[in-house]
Order: sequence, then C-alpha cells, then structure tokens
Amino acid sequence: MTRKRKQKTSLWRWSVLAFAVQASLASAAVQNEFLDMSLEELVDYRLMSMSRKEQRVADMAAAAYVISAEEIRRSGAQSIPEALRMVPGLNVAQINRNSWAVSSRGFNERFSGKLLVQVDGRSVYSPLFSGVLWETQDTMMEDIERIEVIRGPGAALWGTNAMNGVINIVTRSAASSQGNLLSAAVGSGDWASASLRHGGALEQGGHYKVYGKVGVAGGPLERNTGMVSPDGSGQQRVGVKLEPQVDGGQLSIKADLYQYRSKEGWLTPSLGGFSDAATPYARDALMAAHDQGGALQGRYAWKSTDGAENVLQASIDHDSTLHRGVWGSGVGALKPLGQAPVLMTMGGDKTDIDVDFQQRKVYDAHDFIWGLNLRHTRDNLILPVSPYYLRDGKDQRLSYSAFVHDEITLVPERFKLIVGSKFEKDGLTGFNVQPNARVLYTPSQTEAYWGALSRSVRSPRRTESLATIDISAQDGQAYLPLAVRQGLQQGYGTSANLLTAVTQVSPMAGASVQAEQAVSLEGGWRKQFSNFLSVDSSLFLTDYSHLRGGRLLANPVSPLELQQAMACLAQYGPGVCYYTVAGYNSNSDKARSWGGEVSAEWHPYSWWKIQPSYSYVRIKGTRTGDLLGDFQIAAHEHGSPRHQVALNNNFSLRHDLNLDVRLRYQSQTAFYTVNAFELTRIAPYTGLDMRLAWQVNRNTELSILGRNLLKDRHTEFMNILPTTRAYDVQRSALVQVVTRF
Amino acid sequence: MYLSKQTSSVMFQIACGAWGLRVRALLLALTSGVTLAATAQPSGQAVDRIKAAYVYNFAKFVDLPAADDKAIRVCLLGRDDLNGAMLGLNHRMAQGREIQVRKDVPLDQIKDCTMAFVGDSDARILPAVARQLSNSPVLLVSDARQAMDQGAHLALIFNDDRVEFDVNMLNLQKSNIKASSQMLKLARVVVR
Repeated sequence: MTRKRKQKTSLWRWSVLAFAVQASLASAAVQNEFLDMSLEELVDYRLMSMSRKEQRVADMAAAAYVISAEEIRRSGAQSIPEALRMVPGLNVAQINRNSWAVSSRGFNERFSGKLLVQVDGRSVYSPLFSGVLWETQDTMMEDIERIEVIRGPGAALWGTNAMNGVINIVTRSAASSQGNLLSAAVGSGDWASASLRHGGALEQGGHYKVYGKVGVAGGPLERNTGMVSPDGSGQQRVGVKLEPQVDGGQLSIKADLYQYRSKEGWLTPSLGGFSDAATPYARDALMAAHDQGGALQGRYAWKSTDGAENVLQASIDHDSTLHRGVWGSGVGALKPLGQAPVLMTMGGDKTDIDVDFQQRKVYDAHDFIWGLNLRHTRDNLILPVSPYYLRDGKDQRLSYSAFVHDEITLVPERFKLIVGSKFEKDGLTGFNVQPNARVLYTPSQTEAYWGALSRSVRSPRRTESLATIDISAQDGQAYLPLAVRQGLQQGYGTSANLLTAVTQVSPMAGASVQAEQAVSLEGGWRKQFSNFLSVDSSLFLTDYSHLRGGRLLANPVSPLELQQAMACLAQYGPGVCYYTVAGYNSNSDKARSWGGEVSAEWHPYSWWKIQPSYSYVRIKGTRTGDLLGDFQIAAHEHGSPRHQVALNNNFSLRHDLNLDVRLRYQSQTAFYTVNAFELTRIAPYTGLDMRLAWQVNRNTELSILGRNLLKDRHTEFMNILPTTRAYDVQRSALVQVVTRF
Repeated sequence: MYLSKQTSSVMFQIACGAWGLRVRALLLALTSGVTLAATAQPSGQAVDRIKAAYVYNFAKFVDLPAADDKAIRVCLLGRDDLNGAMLGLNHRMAQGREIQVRKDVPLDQIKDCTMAFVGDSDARILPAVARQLSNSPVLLVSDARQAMDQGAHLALIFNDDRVEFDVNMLNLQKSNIKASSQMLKLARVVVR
C-alpha cells in the first residue's frame, strides 16, 4: 500500500517536472537521421574529420573519400600510396619498389607540390624537394585508422599547397590499440616487412601504445635494360603515443623516429668529357641515400563552458636527407672549363615548429570554426654543385595564418552555405588570401548536390625558384657560327662533340618568389539509392596562373662566352669546355584543367561488394613559344593519365575466407627524359591485384597477395627533375600473417 | 578570384531572407501553440546524434522495468544533453512504450527514471548519481571517459572515427537489469 502511494506521488512530481521543461524540449527537438539506424549500423558507422570537425562524408560539400582500416586490411596494401590506389580519381604511380608519385587532378610528379599530405594533422614533406617522400612515410599499416582524401582545393581550411587535394592519414588512438599485434610479410623481389605494436593502460589513467616497423626491399628492374638495379633499400621506424587521463579534456602526445637507407640512381646532364659512354651528355650517379627524421606532437582538445570546442596542437619535426656519391654535371666556377664530378654529399635538413589552435562554436544556424597557425621553418639545403646548385642553402622563415569557416544552415535539412577563407603570411611568397564558398543542397537524407568556388595558392620550393639548374646538355656545335664550325672541322677533323652547350636556368637577380595560383569551380552529386547501391560524382574546372616554369633569355648564348669556350677548347682539348644556353626561372605560365570522377558502390549479394570508378582529367597549358616554357607545359599536359578506371571486388567466400580482386587501368602518359626534347610515351596499362585472406581464428589472419598479375613488368612513371633511373614495376607476390595476442 | 561585392550582397540577402522566414515560423509556432520547432534548428554534432541514437537503441534492447504509465523515462542529469540531441528521443516509441525525455532532473528524483544519462561534461557528478541509484533498476548510461569504472551500466566511447559501447555486466546484474544477447555481441568490451 505504502509502496503504491509513493509511486503515485512520484508520478505527480514527474508531471510537474515535465511541464517545466516542455519549452526547452520543444525548441530543441532535433532531426536525427541516426535514430533510424540499427545498433549494428551504429557500431560500424564512421565519421571523418576533414573539415576540421567530425562529419559524415555524405554531408560534405567537397569531393571527399575515406579509406577505412578495414578496407586497407582487405586490400593488403603494404604502403600508404598503395592504399591510396583505392581512391577514385587519385593518380598513384609506382616509380620503383618504394617510391611513388601521387597526385590529385593532374600535375603528377614524384614530389607533387599541389597536394597537401598530413599525418594526424601534421604536414609531412621532405626538405630537399618540399614534396612528400612517400618511402619515408612508411608507417605501420595496421596502425592506420583511416585515410581521408579530398580531391580539389582545401586551401581555405588547410592553407598553402592544398591546391589540388588534401590527404590526411589518421593513426589509431592508443585506447583502441590495446594488446599486442604482430604483422609480418615476405614477398618476391627480396621484399620483407615486420611490425609490432603494444598497447596498454597508463597507471594514472589513460592509455599508451608503442610500435616499431622494419622493412627491406631489393632493387627494382631497370626499364631500359631489364636488369635488376642495385637500388635496394631498408627502413626502420619506431613510435609511441600517450593518451593520459586529464580532467576537462583529451590529451594525446605522439613521437616518431625513422630512418631510411637506399641507393638511388640520378641521371644528370653533364659535359661531354664526363658523361657515361653509353649516354653522351648525361651521367648516371648512383647515390647512397640516407633519410632520417623524427617528430614530436601534442594535441589537447577541450570544451569551454560556453559549449565551444577547442583544439590546440603543437609539433616539432626534423627531417634530413643526404645523398652521397660522385656527383656533378661538370658546370661550375671555372667556367668555361668544366670540373670533373667528385665524391660529395648533397641533400638537406629542415626543422619545423608548428602551433595550431582552432575553436568551433555552434549557435543558431551557424556552425562556426576559426583558427590560428604559426609555423617556423629552418632549413639547410646542401646543393654545392650543379646540376642543382643553390648558393644560400641556409634559411629560416616564419609563416602565420588565420582561417574562418562558417557553415550556415539556410533551410534546415535542405540548404547550407559554407563560406570561409584562409589568410596567410607565407615566409617565402608573402601574403595570400585563399577564400572559398560552397553550397550543399540535400533534397533528402540520401541525396546531396554541392558546388564550390575556391582560390588557392602553392608556395614554390626554394629549389625551384632560387636554385640554378642544368636542364640539359648537348653537343655545343649547334650554336657555333658556320665559319667557326668549318675552322674546327679543319683543326680536329670534326666539329662534333668538342664543346658542350648546357641549358641552364637561374633565378633572376632581385626577382621575388611568387606563389602559384588556382581558381577552381567544382560541383558534385551523391545519392544513396538503397542500402545496396550508392553513387558519387564530381566535376571540376581549374584555372592556374603564375605557374612556375622557365624562359630562355632573348639572346641565350652570349658571343663572349662562345669566344671564351673556343679559347678553352684550344687550351684544354675537346670534351671539358662548355658554354651556357641561359634561361631564368619564371612564374608566368598558365594552364587550365578540367575533368570529373564518378564512383559507385554496389552490393549485389551479401557476399559480394563491387566498386567501379572512372575519372578523367585534362590539362591544357598556354603555349608561349618559349622553348623552356613550352617544355614545362608539355610535361604538365602529359604527366598524368587522362582516363583511369578501377574495379574493386570484394567476395566473402566463407565466414573466414575473403577474396579481393582489383582491376585498374590508366591511359597513356608521356615524360621527358634527360636531355630529350621529345616526350617518351608510356603505354596504357591494366593492373590486376588479388588477395586471398583466411581468418585462422579470432586473432590471426593469413593472406596471400598477388600484384600486377597480368604482365611481367610495366612502367608506370618516369621521374624528371630530379631525373632518376626509369624503373619497371614487376609482377609480385607476398604472404602475410597478422596476429593479435 | 574573390567573390564580388555584388555576389556577396546577394548572398547576404539570401541569408537575411532565410532569417526572416525563421522568425516568422517561430512567431507562428508561438501564437498557434504548436511546438513543432524542429524545422528551424541546426542539427547537433554528428557524434552527439550518434550517441543519442545509441541511447535509443538501448531503450529497445534492454529489458527496462515499467512504471504505471508504461513510459520509458529518460532523465538527463547535469547540463549536458549532447547539444540537444538527447531531446530528439522524446515521444519516440521503443518496445511499444513511449520515451519521455526529462532535463535537469534533481538527484533525489532519479529513482523515478527508467534510464539516466550523464554526459561527459558532467562526468564529475557520475559517482554521486551511481551512489544515489545504488542497485535500483535504473539503466545508467554515460559517455564520460571513465564511465565503466564509475558505476555506469553502459558507456559510449568515441574513438578515432566511430562511437562504440561498453557493457558492465556486473553492474547490470546488481541492478537486476537484463540486456539482450544480440546487444552484448556488438559491444566493444563486456565487463563480466
């Protein structure tokens, strides 16, 4: 009886309370699409943080794509670029066993400068060419939580260099890496890799993890000879992540150390007297490369009392890359007499200190984020002799920037306007504003249309703008007046191969370094037709200006130099004297690119998932009639394949047996090789990768992977500036075991 | 290329237009007494909405003791309502029962609740809530980082890019609450 009465009073109190909060309830009822999802779907649901906040890919007004840890595992990818092959529209080309060229929407180079790559929000690039040296970004694949990719500009949020795309590699938190994990793999081509991770709980609360990875790879096949080259490599990496329990926020501290050793064959133009017998006016320098570096990074995220979310991130990182070998084109201070290449070291190191703060506030229809960034770079480039010569190797500069980003809900659940801009003072190129405006229209929860207009810039590398580079070397008789040639004919019996003409670009005296610019117009459409079929597509048009390139001087060969070279020839004999065909670094090329990407995901059966994708990119540069300018434009136009097709299949054969079959096609590309003024065409190719994985038990997976199964060998890419040896990618196989204990 | 002055002023007008609409909708809602303001509210953070969806699923999968009116009373303790996402559960049905979400529930009334939720920003009151509930059959859910150790039955964990949940079977048994085996299978960790 008493019990019942008590319940009645409680009910009464309840209804008073209910009345009191009615008002706040009513105004705050939120549409929540997740409420209709099952527990299974929620557990599997993944968010991405590319817009500097957690967001669904379907809600993004950009061409976004996420590779999950599960997809990486199923693909058997042994490196980050290999995993990036799964992203529709990215061009991933393998140069040799470990080095790669990755680009988005064209302009593929080994050091693709128009693509920003970050690991856990920290920008990674090598000091020497300021691009990503993928072979040194060899983190443990099992430790990657996801890879987020945006094709197209992301500069309004991420700043300089996020011109054609942003890649963010997110590693697992310590909390979700508890226990031990061992992964070991061996493959053809003397390839092997092993990694070990251990995660545990901190005594004072929180978690930690440590990991290490080692790998070796034999030399790849040389394209021209089909011989195994001596360019083998080995790498080691260790890292630790701490996530101590702190009141009021989330703290994580991360440290990494790596070293990478390899041999790399650099092809350089050279004076006739110093060139290799088989390749006149070029020499192949086999350099022993040693890369090493480390990074320390801290991140603290907390919520203010007013509901704002704050993130403070600070990092310091140091990288060095040194190449040792007999090096030089012969061009030097003794002009017109050449200097024989000698054993020397070139390369460089850099130290970055970076502090980044951002705050997010949601109020009314606004989802507002702003942030500040301060970055100090100190670098020392050691390029003592041509073909890459930089006089003032040491430099330090401060860059600072701010960004604002507002996502405004104009019509709830239907229409959003996103405006934002980055304001950046770059230590090299000065003040840059990089705004964008985006719209997102979602007629239903399963369909979205988006459009965007953005301006972005790329800060050129110091090696591009401030160095003196020998572009090519050739027989010097071409520029000699007829009378002089006839005189030589009489004296030496031939006028050929006596002098060398070296085409050289150098910085103009007093010229300032200007940033490359791009204005992009993009649009996209996404639709989820059912739980079994979804489609994602995008189109883009980008206008580039102030592209870096070269120009010949109006009178590139000075008569005085020719005279001096002739005198030198008379004194020292043939082969060792030269004159220059002079050019300068320019910032005035223009180009336009356009294209699109379309991909679908279809589950015809519960055991079969199929993902077809197609992408097209076309680049058209403005020809100026200048030899060097057009040379660079042609390289841009042909360096990336116009068509790419991929077909990824995933079969769950049995509950413990998985088969992945991936086909990819890329259309032809063409590259310049050293001293050539004709493009070398690389045939289109189709690659087939297959992986069969057996889940032995709950903790152990055994897999075999076959790559490039259709052909013995094929070329995917050739490197120009720096020109390295051209290699072929071979058919390969590997076995891998991953076990948790 | 920058947005021209003209374009930005047009955009501004569009924004103002939308604002005007919102104000009118609000006035309409106030005058007619209709409290369907869902139309004009920005959705909370996706993570918060996912967490709220978890709580909704828990209401479906946990055998919750019923009071006379059969309603599932979800009480929010402290100020953290997952940026409003928890309120979206109000009037939804689970196991044939209506969910009633209540905010700012005082500590001494939580035994009248069917489920109690303590958000991460109010983590410090979690031990007091657990103490107050002792072994009452009220399902305590929290997204605080130490929720499992501080007496919650179910904890929501946001790691990297997804939200998962842990189950404390010991506490569930003490409180005499039964969770479906289907749900336990999906948990990240089950403390037994």
